[in-house]
Amino acid sequence: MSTARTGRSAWLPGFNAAGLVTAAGILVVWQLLVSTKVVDFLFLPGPLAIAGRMPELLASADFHEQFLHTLTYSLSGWGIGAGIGIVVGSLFGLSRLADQWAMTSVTVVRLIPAIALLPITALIFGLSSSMELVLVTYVAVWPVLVSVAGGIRTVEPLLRDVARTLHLRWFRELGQVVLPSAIGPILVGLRLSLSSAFVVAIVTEMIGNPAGLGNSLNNARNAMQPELTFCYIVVIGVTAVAANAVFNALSRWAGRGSSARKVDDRLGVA
Amino acid sequence: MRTQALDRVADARTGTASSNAGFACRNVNASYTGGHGGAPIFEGIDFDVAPGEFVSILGGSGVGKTTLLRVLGGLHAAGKGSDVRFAGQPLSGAPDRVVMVFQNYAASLLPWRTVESNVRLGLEGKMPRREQRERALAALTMVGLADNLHYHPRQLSGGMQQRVQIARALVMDPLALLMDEPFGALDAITKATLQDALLRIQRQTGMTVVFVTHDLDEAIYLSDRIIVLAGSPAGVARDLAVDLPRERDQVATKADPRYLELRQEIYTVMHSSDPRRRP
Ligand SMILES: Nc1ncnc2c1ncn2[C@@H]1O[C@H](COP(=O)(O)OP(=O)(O)O)[C@@H](O)[C@H]1O
Ligand SMILES: [Mg+2]
Repeated sequence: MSTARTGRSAWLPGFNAAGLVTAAGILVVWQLLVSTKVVDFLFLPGPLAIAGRMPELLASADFHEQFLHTLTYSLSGWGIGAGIGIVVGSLFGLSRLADQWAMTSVTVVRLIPAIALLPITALIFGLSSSMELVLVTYVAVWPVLVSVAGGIRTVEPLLRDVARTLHLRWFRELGQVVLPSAIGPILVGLRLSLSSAFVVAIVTEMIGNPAGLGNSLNNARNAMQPELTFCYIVVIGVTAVAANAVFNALSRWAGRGSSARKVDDRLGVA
Repeated sequence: MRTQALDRVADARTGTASSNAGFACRNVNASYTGGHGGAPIFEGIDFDVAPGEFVSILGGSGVGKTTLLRVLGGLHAAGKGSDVRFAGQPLSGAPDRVVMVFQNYAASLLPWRTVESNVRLGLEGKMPRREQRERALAALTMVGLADNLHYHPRQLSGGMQQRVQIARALVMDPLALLMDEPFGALDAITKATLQDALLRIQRQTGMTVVFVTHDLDEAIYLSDRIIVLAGSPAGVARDLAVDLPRERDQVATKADPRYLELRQEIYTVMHSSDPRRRP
């Protein structure tokens, strides 16, 4: 379907030439404004100066270490959080009782900004990587929990009857019938969860755990190196975009069967 | 190889076909919480289905046929005072080896699974994968879909999708099959073909079939006995044996004078002003 629409492969995101031209245009204007000193701030370098600083950064061992730290903690926190979200969300989706008794608390608690919990987490775990992992996991849980519970509730009731008449055990009904039917909303939740996890990892590193890209970004600023500061911003931005793209490609690949179109639409990438 | 698979399934079935695989309903009622202010959909339903018998439940739209079938399949709890039994045991949940075939075949197949893996669904975790595949193939052979194993449901016509659903039930080696207007949405030719396929499979396996339909001709053609539901709340308006030869033929059976008599009798029951009063 999508191949027919835009000539791109079914599960690889497309290459949007018009979008790239605009982005390049913005960079050119920025560079011109800075070079001609129309815009002249002490700490605002042009794109060329930033790009010039990049190779050295990308080659440094310390950068590799920090990059790996942020990637490891955001992905682990996301994985653990998503796992908890799927299990607890399934419980809420399947059990009217659990939903009745606990969903209100969930709604209230999940609306507390994770960053407001940073001080207490820091008291409990210290300014450590454990604290970072806890906070990342915490934010990753909610979008998945809510989307799994909601997705399960919208599953065609007939499919539950099918599972019963075929005498499926509860875990098989959940894994083979219910969760796959709710795959669209669940993927949306997982994607939201991934981007929140990454944001909270960076923020925690900036104001809590002295490690990772967030901390390096802070250090660059404290050293009054605007080019380096911008390099970190670029790296962080590109990583977030790449993570999102990899996730979309994986979910399209996973849903390449009949529900591919549905997944596409739900992700808003069609 | 096909006939071998078929024979094996038939052997297994006749070997295990239990002599008490029938239903007994006494004073059965059912309602929906919230629907009709909780008023019963039907009440005082009494009937038996003997093992190996093909019984149709006939009635107009909304009379409660689907609800009654769901009660027999353990998917809907009967009301207070009801006594529903399968093989002599009161129902609690879906009874073992009683499988339902739903009216809406499109929504009851899993679209992300192939034909073969849809059919295997009920076997997974209950036997080795090799055996699952063998049994799925045998069941699909019975419904004439042995060449469509790797298709996805959306690639099949409505009639083929319904065959997949029937194969998914057959693979469970059921003692009783509950079918809710399975051919209602199909064109006349497909319908006749599937009716004959169903009769052939039923004769071959000896399983009990309870078949819901609103189509008078379909009910007479297929059944050993017909139970007509009518009224509100509904009751059994008629319970009559179809005393036609058990070998049915789409042309000969429907030209049989006895067929026409039965047809007239049931038509009158279905269209009388007070269908529950016997003449
Ligand atoms: N889930 C439900 N909730 C409330 N009422 C229902 C529900 N399902 C069916 N009904 C009502 O029960 C009656 C019988 O329905 P049904 O058994 O589906 O009839 P049939 O299969 O004979 O057409 C109808 O009046 C219908 O509106
Ligand atoms: Mg119905």
